[in-house]
Amino acid sequence: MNMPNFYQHYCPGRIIAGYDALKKIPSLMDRLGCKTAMVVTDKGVVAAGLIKHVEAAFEGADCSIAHVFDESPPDSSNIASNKLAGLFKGYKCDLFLAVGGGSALDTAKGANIVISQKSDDLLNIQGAENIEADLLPTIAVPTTAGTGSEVTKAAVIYNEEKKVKMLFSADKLYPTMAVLDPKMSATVPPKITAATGLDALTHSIEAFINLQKNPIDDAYAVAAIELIAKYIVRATENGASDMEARFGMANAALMAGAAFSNSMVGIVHSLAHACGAVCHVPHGLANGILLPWSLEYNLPRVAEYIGQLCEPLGCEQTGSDPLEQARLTIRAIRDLEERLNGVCGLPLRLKDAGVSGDKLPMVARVAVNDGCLMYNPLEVGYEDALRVLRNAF
Amino acid sequence: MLELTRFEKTMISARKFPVWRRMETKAKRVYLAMALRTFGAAFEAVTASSKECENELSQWEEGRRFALGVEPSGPYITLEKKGRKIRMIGTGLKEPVLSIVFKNLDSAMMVYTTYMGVVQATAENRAVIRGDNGKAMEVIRVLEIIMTYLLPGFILRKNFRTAPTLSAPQYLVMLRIYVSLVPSLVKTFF
Repeated sequence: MNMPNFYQHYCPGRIIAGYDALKKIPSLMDRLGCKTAMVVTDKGVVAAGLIKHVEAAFEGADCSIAHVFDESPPDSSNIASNKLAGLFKGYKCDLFLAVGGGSALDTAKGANIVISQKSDDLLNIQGAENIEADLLPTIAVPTTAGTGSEVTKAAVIYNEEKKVKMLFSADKLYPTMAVLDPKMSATVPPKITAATGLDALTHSIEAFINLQKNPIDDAYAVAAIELIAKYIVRATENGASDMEARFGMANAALMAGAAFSNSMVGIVHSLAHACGAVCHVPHGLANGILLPWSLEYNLPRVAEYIGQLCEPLGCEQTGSDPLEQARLTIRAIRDLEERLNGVCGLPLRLKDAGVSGDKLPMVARVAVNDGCLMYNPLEVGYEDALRVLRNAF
Repeated sequence: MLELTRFEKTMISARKFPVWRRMETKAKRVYLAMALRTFGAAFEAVTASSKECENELSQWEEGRRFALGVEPSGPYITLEKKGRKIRMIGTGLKEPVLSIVFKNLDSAMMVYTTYMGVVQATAENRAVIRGDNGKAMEVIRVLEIIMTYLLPGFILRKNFRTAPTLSAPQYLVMLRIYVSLVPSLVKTFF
């Protein structure tokens, strides 16, 4: 790679990973000087019985769970975050214990921003790199292997008034600790396993090709891609019976999160955020569909970097033409997605994911105002965004 | 091995003296204050003439007020959308709903001396956005149109991800902008 003139890498959280890692939570809280946790989750996680595992970890401990907030919506929202902030203060909690996918984790981050900035509305604190006050401790327990939010400085929160997804990013947003326990993602249905896994793949690839790519994030990204190539189909196919694959994907998602938290993401995420905001397409699914088309868009600028991902994805390098290598990488991603389609019926086109053709112009308009575009290697205007969307439709 | 030029070695030696450091900071602040005022004038001149800016601004709400500047203590300018163009309200922060500010003088110098583009500076975490990120993207797009009309091609090729090219009619607009920039600059500075 060409060395960047300047970069920063920051990934401050402690990571506890392994079978029964959940049992460490009370001692971790003790280490943080916290006694009362607010569990932030969603109804799906509660219905799957995963909160029982968390509660069991607190048996006989000095600290306790004050309340289980299970109202995180599928797309974490400003209203949910504001409500959670009020409850957190009401129950006199001193720690967020976020258990769930990206939505639950980001809802906790949103509420944490509201409390620490002494506000009552998240919308008053929009921006990038604008949070200066320390946030309250957060322990993140992901139940899907995709978002990476357990180790990122980003939170994506749906603005219910304007119907757009807002990106918050600031160094203070890193969770204090991340706990990876494979049993927490064991029961995720196949289609969600595949979609969230493709989300992690997108994080790694966008981090690897973006404007702010750097040697440290590259190492995380490549390691994550290798794990995803090895485990995503197994995890989707075998479910709870293949805990090695589950744990492999959990680690991949975490490393992809560490990579993109510094290098950030680009056009795929801008378009996926807009697809989510306008057409409510699940984030991981939108990322998966848009990834190969967006890489084709970026080919003229970063063919060399895309080509370098051929081997981590498990295909052999042939020849030395960067463009040819890059096309092989994109082919490998499409092959992987087709295998996932065969295993669980994962949609490969936007039209199969609930997007109607007449919504594409609106999606493109929303996408060009998404902050992630700042990090994309090529400029993206409205017409460019619309072209990629039409290709992926 | 990184080799320093004689000039760089001299500058490093000079920075050992507190008086020099104070003078350097003061000089940067003065330069940035002038650069920001020039940009304020450029916002007025370009948005009054450019069709691309008019298209962008048609999506903005009337009276949107935003600021550009440097943290922690300025300089800043505040601008506002009025009708189909942007006008500079003045220096300092005048209740903007959105501000795009650099974290320190050095980062701001990199951009306002055209050593680095706005996008690269943002990607390197040199800027802070306070307010709606979507609106910030809209402001940055207008800022890039302004730079397209004002800066020479070799700087645009260096600082833009996709170097913009101007058509023949756009060169005529550019001429008109340069002419109208003079009164805007006079109004801004005096």
